Amino acid sequence: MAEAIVEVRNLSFSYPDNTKALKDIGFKVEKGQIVAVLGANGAGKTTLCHHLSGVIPNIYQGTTEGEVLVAGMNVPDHPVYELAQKISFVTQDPEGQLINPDVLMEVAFGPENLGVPRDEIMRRAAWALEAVGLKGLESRAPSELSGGQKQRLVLAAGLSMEPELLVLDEPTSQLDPIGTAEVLDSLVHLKQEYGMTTILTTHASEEVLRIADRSIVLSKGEMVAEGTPREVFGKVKLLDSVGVQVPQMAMLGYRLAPQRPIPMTVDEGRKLVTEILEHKQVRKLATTQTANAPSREPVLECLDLTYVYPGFPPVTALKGVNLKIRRGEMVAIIGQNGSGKTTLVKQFLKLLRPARGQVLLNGKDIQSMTTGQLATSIGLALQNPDEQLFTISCQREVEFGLQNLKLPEDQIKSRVDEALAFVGLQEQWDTFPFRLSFGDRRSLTVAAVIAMRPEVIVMDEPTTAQDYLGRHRIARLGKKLNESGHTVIMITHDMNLVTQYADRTIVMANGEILLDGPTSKVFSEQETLKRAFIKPPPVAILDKELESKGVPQGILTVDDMVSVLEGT
Amino acid sequence: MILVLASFAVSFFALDFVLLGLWILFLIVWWFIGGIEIKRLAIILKILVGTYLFFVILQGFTYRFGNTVIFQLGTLMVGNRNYAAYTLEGFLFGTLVFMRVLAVVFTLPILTMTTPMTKLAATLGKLKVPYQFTMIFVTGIRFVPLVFQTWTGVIQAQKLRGRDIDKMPFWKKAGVYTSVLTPLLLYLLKLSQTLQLALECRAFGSPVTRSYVEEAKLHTADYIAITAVIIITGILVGLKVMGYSSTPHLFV
Repeated sequence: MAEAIVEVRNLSFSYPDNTKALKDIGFKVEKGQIVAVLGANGAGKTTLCHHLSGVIPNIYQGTTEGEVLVAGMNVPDHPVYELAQKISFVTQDPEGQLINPDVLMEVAFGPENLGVPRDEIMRRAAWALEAVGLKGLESRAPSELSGGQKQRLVLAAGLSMEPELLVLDEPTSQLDPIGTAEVLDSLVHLKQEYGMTTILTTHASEEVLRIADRSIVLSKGEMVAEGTPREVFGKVKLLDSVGVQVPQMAMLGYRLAPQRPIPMTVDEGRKLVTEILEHKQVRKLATTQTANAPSREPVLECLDLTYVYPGFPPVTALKGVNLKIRRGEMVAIIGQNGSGKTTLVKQFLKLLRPARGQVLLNGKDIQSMTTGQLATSIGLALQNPDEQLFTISCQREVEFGLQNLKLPEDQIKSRVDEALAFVGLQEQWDTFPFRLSFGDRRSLTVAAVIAMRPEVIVMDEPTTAQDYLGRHRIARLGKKLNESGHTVIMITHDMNLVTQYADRTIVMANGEILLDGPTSKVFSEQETLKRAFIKPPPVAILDKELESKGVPQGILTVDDMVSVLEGT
Repeated sequence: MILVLASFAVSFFALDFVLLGLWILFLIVWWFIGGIEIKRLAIILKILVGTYLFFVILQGFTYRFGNTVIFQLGTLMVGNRNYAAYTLEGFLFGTLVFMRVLAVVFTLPILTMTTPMTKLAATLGKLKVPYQFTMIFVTGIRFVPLVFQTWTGVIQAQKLRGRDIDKMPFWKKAGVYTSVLTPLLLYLLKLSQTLQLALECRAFGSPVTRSYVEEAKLHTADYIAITAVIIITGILVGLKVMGYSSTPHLFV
């Protein structure tokens, strides 16, 4: 067995309010491995990272039992500045971790604090920036970098301390698919070229399969599974019960043939399905009728919509967009950050004014209406729930908009009760919004929007920084609203949600609409999707590969694939 | 930094229309030389319009040496002074105080936009300014855009629920700003927590003498600029000290 660089023995931890966050955790990590820690929100992943990096007990306190040894050091015995020379810790928010005015200074900051001579710092900075692919950007300001570049810069800033271990707490949860791939590719490069050891927490199960040597699953502070990703993701039932997303191929294999080895990759999935098809014939894909069939009549229409962000130089974020959203549709808008998705939906409510073009609401130009007036017809839940909660209780939060509409008290009360019940927060009506979990805060912002009874509800990246269960909960909420008669537009990076919940998908790239149509049709255009850097879910790729075997095309979910293959 | 200190010196010790006017002109010339877009000047003036109105209204009615009444809104006698009377001297003094503000405010873009923060931090280090102080300054500048972004986000979220703060009269704004400040302060707390982790995990505050990648070196242009600032400041403050006043009746 190779040398263990991390050894955690019987680690338990309670916060000062007696919340037990970790219970008897124990594992070893070998030098040069990438270890993924999986688990739902609240499982103890961040607390574990804080122990590995020495943030607990140096910065945050509580009661710890057990031992954490990293690179031969007993972590609690050392101050953070000493540990920082062996362990680099990165959190999920790159913005808050970038302190300096330019890239070079950011990378030099750590060694400067340790009094490392200038020439040595320059050597380390050049190495670290090269390792994460940021060479040549030394004089750039962090604000000029993309999300993925920012997170890689944080990584480089840690690398310049020449650590032996990287501890990354959900480093990709706030990034788009390109940014996520950039960061994860950097980790693989660091492992292959420099033998770097990495422990990262994540919700991205499909990515874990691609990069991790080992996985650990936490649930309510306990370690419930450990092994290679193949071993861990083979425990489908267990993972499902603890709120960890099972990769699509594993889920498909488990449902089709649980007695056989579970497939992990599309190749393995194809082999399994091909074997099944040798003995059986495929069924036709049953077409599902949506409860709320959309009308042909557009509720929202964009005509030649162009928007330019002022700046030096100005950035054209929308380039002559033409679009019709029909009443009763459930639409997903997808595309990388900067493709124009949020800019587009902000035009619907005049939060941004177009340089050219028009937005029509029910056939009427919105030009003469105020944002407040438009908000009674179009409800927009913005990306960050914490910017949208202003009051001292959930009830007041939902009342806020209704009082601005000057509705009578009895109507306000009934709408508040109804909206809170709709999102399942009726019991927490008097709770301070910031005491709710992140997922519940997100639901509360949706409640505040739906209380205003808009025809159209727009949710801008409602699933960012949420775990698997949270993402599905908010998407189901959108579906429920759609089924109750609302037109719903959802911006997201989660292709599994898009394929599962949206009837229509719009793909944006560089301020233009690249694809627009029924979700199954859009995901069959895999070459065009590549241009928008969108990777279809594995089931969609498998379906395309099985076309010659007679498998119906347009299958996007495990449920549908199982329905055409199971029991045939 | 020398320019900022000089600006403070002139605005406090050379309070006079002509002297402050010359200093502001000197700063505008510096803007040109430094390549700062002049339209930023208009933006600053637009932002400060409220401040100017506040000064001239307040001083117009309350300036103790005011005796040339322009108009009066009635009678509000306190001692020998009618506080309902608006005076020319008050108006001029309010304008002068505003010029003092301008003299300082116009300096800041020169500091922040023509000097890279890295150089500034290195220079402060060389001047033996404690690095903790420099960090406060550097992180402050770094996080201003994030705070503005959050502020805009909160204002937009309120608009979406029918409250448009931007279009409210200012006396109503004051009452509703709490609802904007609550999420903003909570964001800042969260940001400061992340910042603390980022700083400590990169050995900030370790008990060793810090090194600097950026080397603080002065070039000929720097020596010329420093000399010019010292000479002009000396002349302006000197003239005031020697009794020069373009408006002797204002008693300032």
